[in-house]
Amino acid sequence: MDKANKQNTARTNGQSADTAGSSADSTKNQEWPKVDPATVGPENKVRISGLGYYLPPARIATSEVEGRMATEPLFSLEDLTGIRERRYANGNESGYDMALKACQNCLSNSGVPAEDIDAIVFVAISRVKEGYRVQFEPSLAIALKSELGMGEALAFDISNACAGMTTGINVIEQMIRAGRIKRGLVVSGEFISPIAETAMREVVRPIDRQMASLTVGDSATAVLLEESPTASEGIEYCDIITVGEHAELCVGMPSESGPGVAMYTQSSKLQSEALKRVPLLMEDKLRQHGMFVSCYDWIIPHQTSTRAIQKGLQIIGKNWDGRMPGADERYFAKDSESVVRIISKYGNTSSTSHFVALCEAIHSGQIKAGDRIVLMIQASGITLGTISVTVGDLKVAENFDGAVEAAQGAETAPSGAAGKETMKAAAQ
Amino acid sequence: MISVKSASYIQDKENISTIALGSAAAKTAIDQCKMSPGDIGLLINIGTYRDDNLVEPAEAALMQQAAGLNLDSRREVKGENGAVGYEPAPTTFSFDVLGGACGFFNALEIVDSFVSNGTVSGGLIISANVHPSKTDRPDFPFAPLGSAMVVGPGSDGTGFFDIKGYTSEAKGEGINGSIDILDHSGDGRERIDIKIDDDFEANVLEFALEKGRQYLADRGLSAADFDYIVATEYSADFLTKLAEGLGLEKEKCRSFYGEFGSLHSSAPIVALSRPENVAPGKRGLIVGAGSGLTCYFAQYNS
Repeated sequence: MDKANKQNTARTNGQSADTAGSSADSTKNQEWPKVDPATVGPENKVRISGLGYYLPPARIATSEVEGRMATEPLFSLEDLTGIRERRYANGNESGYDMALKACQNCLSNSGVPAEDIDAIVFVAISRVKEGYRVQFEPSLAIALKSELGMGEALAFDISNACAGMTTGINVIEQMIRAGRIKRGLVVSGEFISPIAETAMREVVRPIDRQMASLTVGDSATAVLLEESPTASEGIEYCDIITVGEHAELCVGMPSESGPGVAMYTQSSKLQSEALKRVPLLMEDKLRQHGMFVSCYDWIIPHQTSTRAIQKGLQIIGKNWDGRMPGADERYFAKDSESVVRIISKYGNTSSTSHFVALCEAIHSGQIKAGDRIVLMIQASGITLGTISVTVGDLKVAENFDGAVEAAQGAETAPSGAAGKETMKAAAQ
Repeated sequence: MISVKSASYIQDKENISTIALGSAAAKTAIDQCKMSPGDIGLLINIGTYRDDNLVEPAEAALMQQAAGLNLDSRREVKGENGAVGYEPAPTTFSFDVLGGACGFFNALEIVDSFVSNGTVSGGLIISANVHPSKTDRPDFPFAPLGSAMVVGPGSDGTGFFDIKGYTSEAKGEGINGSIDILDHSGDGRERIDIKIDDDFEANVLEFALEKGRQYLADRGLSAADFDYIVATEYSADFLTKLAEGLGLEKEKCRSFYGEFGSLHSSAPIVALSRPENVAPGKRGLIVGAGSGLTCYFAQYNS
């Protein structure tokens, strides 16, 4: 997308075309520029100033999903996906209801009054305001804006599959940097479990395009963005693109076989086509900003399945091996502690997955002020990309039952300076 | 400020599909603009009613595919030693904006932000609305039509400016378009419930008039400042009532209702595809009005 992208040297899976086929050792140990976090990305950065999330209370074990399937699967879904359980709203609350709770949680955590927010964007795939009704107009953002008391805030919806939250963040980040707004809220309330219910009824073969639907769980997340007071905190870059050549590999629409909505995914092809492109895309952006993977304290991938996450990271690591400082076991080994995973507890929560993970990691004290994170985006479309962000002193109160807890008592995070020292050390 | 580089629309009763109509209009707009396709870094689909009630992926991605726009993020190259490698190719970021009949204004603000930050050089806004059954249903209240507009940096004061939106829930949603995903028997791709309040047109007109007067007053503008007015229309005299209520003469109305019926989110694109509206020196008042209730105002200097 950026012009600089077009000017880079051709590479074979990240390797220069003019050296393609030669040993990766030829570029091993090359010197990479030192990185001052404050100089990466635009001077007028946009920061995450609030986070909120909500998970419905009903826990559905993978064994229960298997038990409810009309045709018993030939293999263990839990072994295949790494998902132990997920949350279902069970029709007791809509995606809109959950989104509202995530917004309330976010506003409470941030301390920002609703009337001080200039824009709200609703970004869920499922778009359910009441019952099981998918609403195309009016936008759900308008109702949220009104219910939250946001005055004359700009309100519209975005739809971009599992990249909904990251797309919304990219849009709001750009609007703030352009001076159109000062503060914007991106929210998704994802009542996605109806595709799982359909799959339970309709999957009859071991390999079925609805199998991926069995992995999903319901949730909501909200992210508040605003101008950053410092260049060392905030979004360094958003780089999201669409590989339209493979737009048909995952589609969601009403089922033709009966009631319900279904998602049909060519999972293997989607994964393989994405992974042919991700290493080059990521490396190109890192190079553009004079960065490398070891600048990151955390990687947050889209949470699809344990195997898919691991396979993806291994392929990236293998492609970068010998050329990219940090392309080693710290990030790419199995069970790397620098990779945030929540898949076993919540399944694939679709558009919210990066931010359920971020909320949990901040709530638990895993991610701290000053940490730099890369969000790896992979969604149908095929939408691919990364968001690079250094987080500030964020607090996230748990919000499982809708009762917003006070943020008081949340673990005190180390100072941003301490976090930056960690990053510098990692970058050496 | 961004301006229109090209705009196009298409109707085809034999091929009623948002993907087909939207991508066909997009191809024409891309061909007609003086911008390189590689510079179109954003594709935003603002259509509301879509093929098969599709919820994933973004229809924008399918339109990008059908239009053949920057399809892949890499292209094959051969190195000096003959080895095959890849280099980054021009890319496009595609997604849908759902803002009802006012989605065009949301897309404008988004593209304008990306362009002014230097993130992209230009954008493509596509609007297509059809009945999900992809047939010409008489009960579908909007024109089954595809339209597309390429926008890029304006020069010499040309382009869209002063975009401002308003919403109010005081008189209901006005229009609700939805489908109950459990209440169908396998025909969910062919059904849509579009409920239009009996008093919607009167309410949205009243709302647009109130906010339109506010918009003009806040900027010290009068009817004499505009050469024409275009708007989302819901009846043959909707635009006339709106224009006259804002003080603009009937002669300044550029109505398309008689030709197409209600164009929903496509109205501004169709209007600005007409050469007489984008002739140099012209200044237009572009109005969106729809469900929510929502209304938007923008000005366009040609």
